[in-house]
Amino acid sequence: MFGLPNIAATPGAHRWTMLAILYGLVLVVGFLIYRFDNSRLGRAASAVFVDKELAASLGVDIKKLGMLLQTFSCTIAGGIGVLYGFIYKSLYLTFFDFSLVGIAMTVIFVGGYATQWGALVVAPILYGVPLLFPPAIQSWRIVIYGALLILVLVLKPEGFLTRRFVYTLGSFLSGHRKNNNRQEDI
Amino acid sequence: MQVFIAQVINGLSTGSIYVLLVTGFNLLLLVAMIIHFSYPQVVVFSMYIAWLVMKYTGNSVVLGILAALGSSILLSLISAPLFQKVMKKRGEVDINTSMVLSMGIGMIITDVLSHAFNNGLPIAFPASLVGSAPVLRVGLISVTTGQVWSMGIGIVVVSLFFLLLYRTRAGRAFRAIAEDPSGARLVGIPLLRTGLYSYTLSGLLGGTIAVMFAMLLGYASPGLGEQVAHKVLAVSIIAGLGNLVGGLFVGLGLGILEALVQGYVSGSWSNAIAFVIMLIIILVKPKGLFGSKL
Repeated sequence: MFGLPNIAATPGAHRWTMLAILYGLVLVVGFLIYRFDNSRLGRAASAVFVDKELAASLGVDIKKLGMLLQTFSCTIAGGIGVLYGFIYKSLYLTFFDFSLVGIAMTVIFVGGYATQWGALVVAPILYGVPLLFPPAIQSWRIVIYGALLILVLVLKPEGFLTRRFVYTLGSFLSGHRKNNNRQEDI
Repeated sequence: MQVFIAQVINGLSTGSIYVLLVTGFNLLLLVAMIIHFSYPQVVVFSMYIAWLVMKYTGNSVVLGILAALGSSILLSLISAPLFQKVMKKRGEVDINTSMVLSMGIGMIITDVLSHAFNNGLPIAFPASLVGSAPVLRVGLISVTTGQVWSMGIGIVVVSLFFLLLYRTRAGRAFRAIAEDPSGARLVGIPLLRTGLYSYTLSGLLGGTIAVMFAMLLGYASPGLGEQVAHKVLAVSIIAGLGNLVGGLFVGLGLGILEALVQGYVSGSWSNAIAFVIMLIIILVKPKGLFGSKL
């Protein structure tokens, strides 16, 4: 046991507060990634993702950018570690094993690895939906994740929420909004 | 001194298993350009099938060995179309999807083993298969039949695969398909047949490793493949991806290093020390100690 205290007076209140903090952090990190995506750094990272040599020839310092992103990623990991401690109150090293990496991979690839929206939409679905199944099926959920991961890689390797999909959806919604505004003007 | 020699012998036998696994891993890399991260899980699956067959046939060693070889070849052939489909799209996809696909296969194998076999508990192989009988014993130094077999087969198998890949027409065909399937077809190499041969070969090797592993360890558990998979990938990268001779030396080196740490420091530190040393090596020589053959 860590001996970490509850952050609210009662266990019930602690649970709800943790939930609020968790979703608050998801929103904050999501906002930061969204801002990063639309910044100079984000465009540089996209360029490196598409073509390293081309990005380097355009003046992007790949090493520095990589270190920056790794530091950001490790900061998130540290935050997750603290949250884990407060939620579980004890440390199970086996929790952080290969199957957790597999689940993360499934979420990333099913959602689409090129945008943050994929993981955001798919993670609650993939983790939450099996909880509704009977326990006999729930115990096979790693097999289901593995099969899903293989299916997606074979049929749709870029995932469901691709950059193009997000861009099309964004332009459709903004176009729709513009049209509505025009109609209101008329 | 006796402790040192005993630990080196233990290390050589463990290292020979790493060598065989790295050879299988490198073989798939050279003939199909796939990073089969979960290759050790396939091996462990074959061990379980061998155990199951032996359990129901009154510990028949021959049938157990045949079951290990057959299941490994079958699994390899079943996964072949999946890998080929993914590799067709390798130009369109930026991330190495073959490795992620292999991880998916590994997840399924590990979970099936922990649910469907022996209630998820480790399995023990019968004494008729396990080579625990000592061939030589001098003080603390003891050499078992399992160790002799695994070391001997390790060296022979690496030599044979090296010759096959680099000295025969079939080997050239395997490597040509991996590098450029369209070019290989243009020069008259039958893609389907050669592809099937290469996957069958890797399956055959997987089955052989499963038998050797069973002889050396005497047990298997669902998590065994995962434990070894990281080391196999690390050894392959340290040696130089696709370098069979490099894999031989680094695999044996890792086995000896682990055994020495277990003998002189503590068994629980062997992984940490081995991975720190490998990390330092990869920082100094990013292309591996013996250079990549890809």
